[in-house]
Amino acid sequence: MRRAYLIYGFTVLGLWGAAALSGFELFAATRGKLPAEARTSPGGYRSYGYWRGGK
Amino acid sequence: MPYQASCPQCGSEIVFSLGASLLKICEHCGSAVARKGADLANYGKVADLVSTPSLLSLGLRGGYSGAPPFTLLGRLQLSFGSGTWDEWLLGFRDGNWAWLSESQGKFHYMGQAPLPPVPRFEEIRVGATVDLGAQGTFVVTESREGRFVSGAGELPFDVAPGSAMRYADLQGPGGQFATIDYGSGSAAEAVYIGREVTLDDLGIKGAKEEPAPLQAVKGEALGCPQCGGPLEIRAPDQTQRIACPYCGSLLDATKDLMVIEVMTSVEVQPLFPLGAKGRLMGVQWTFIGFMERSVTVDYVRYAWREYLLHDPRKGFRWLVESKGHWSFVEPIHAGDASASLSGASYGGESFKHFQSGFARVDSVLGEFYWAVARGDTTESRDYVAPPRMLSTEETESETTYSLATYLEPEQVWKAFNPKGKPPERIGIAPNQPWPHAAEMGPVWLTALGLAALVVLLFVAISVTGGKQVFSATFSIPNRVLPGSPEAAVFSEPFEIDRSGNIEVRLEAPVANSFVYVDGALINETTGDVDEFDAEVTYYHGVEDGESWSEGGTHARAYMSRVPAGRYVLRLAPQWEVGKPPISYALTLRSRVPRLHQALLAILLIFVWPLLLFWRKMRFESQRWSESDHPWMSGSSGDDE
Repeated sequence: MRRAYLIYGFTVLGLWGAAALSGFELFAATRGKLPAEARTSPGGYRSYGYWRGGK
Repeated sequence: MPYQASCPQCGSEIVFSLGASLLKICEHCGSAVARKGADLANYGKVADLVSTPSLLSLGLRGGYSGAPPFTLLGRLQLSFGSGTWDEWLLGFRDGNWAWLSESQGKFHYMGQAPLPPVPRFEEIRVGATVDLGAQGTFVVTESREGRFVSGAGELPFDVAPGSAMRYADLQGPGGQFATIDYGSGSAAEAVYIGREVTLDDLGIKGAKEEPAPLQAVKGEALGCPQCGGPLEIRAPDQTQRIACPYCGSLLDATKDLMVIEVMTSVEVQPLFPLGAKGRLMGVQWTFIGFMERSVTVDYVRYAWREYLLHDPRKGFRWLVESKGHWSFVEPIHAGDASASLSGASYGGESFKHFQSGFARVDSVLGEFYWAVARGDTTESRDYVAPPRMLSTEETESETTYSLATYLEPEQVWKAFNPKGKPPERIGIAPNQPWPHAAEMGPVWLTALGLAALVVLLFVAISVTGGKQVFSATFSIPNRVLPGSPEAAVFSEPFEIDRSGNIEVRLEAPVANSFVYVDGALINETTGDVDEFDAEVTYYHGVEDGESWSEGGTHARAYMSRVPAGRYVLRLAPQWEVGKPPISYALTLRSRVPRLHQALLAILLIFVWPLLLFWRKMRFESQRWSESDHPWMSGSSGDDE
């Protein structure tokens, strides 16, 4: 049984290690969509009047 | 100094070779002659010696443990009704003397010791302890009134044959035995302390190799006087009772197979035949006797079966079967064990009280080394420390201690090779070990090791892992309202080169105020938006002379499964009106370890040992449900 548990334990450890190193998240967040025109039209975020603060 | 005189009965010369000898059995006429100062008293002829399976005879010499050489000078035969045993007087060359007790093939060397204050005969109780001074505390194992039935040679007391002789046998620490001699009265007259010895220990030369047979040479067939069925006696030198395997009648092996109880049928049969041989615990045992016993609790009878095993050198042991569970039982020295109502200890091991009851002999078959009878009842107490069980059995005059070790049924079947399969086990035996007991410790240790590894790796990956993909400090413009469009900013585009989660760290030098940032991570290529928010709150002050603070100057937020790509951030900050922070900083790292995942991994690591623990608790609950101390009422089941 100890051998089986070792296999189980190291499997858990391995899966967790892979998730930790890869930035895996169990659940995906709800992702929104910005319409293309909002990105390209005047007043869209590319042409927003002023960039500020970014250093 | 030897004392010579003439027998007052027959006139033959009699010699008291030991100065302490007070009684001499005349070798010529068999009269008991007592020395009373310068006079002699004739107590009359003593009965012939009872035939016992003794290996010894008067005149044998030996030496023990550095003491001067001794000679066997006297033989005393005592009886307590259902048995007779021999006591031999050892006379040492220096005039001292000691007793050598011989019973059931065992010898006990007993020397006289200073008599401490001990209970009177009427007050002494089996199972009680008695302080014998420097020798330690002893347990009373037997208290009886015997009778001086016969003797030979000389004896160190002045008692007429036929007199009652009261005594208590005790067992003490380190294998010690003791006997308190009460004579025929109530007050103790002497105490003898010693230990079990072999004839080799005593250096006795010339003893018989085999005891004289009682009724039959070993293995000789006799007939049952009741049914005529052939009887084979396998331990003739020690057998006292025989239950005929054909009719069940109980016979007295010490009185020419006299019928004690007539039966017409055998009520219970063993699972393998009388005479079967099997090797257990490294010894080849012969199965010679069988009995079924039971206790009755709340009108329910609980029965078990006991198989008496014999080996000429090792003596007697038991195999006990109950509900398909088997144990190997051996007697233990009462002085090395202690038992109370709640628990017991033996050999450094603690035992928990399991149950007490009155065990009754219901059926017997084969031969027995004591005067067994159907209906014999003892008060029994069982204490468990699986796979062992310590048991005490007590009658008014005797107590015995035994130690049982649980056996797998297959071990019994392999040893005695009976037909068929072992009976199926029902429930959990009192001393049945939990099948995974040996794995519990290593599994828990492994789990702790794995959990520690997770913690270490989490710290290491947190420090060295992840990749910073963005970092910037943003100023709050003057005269802008919190949450207004003018307060919102967009970051420079930046690259996230590998998919994974994103950690957002917000830091702001707030004091007694807050900054809340409503953010969006916008993929420039696809237009996908991942929203997040983070709030930094820090308040502090002094109240009633005590400083206090709450919150901090940084906070974290996370976004999951963010694809690789080119991104910008839209940040809409809010703050406490009138207390705009000077600036706030935002740092984004990709592919970072998450604490909750580490905790989940630790939880999963402990699921297995916790499951094992739960199964053990269930097993124990079932075990104790049959005891005097059930964990919960109505517990049942057949786990494992």
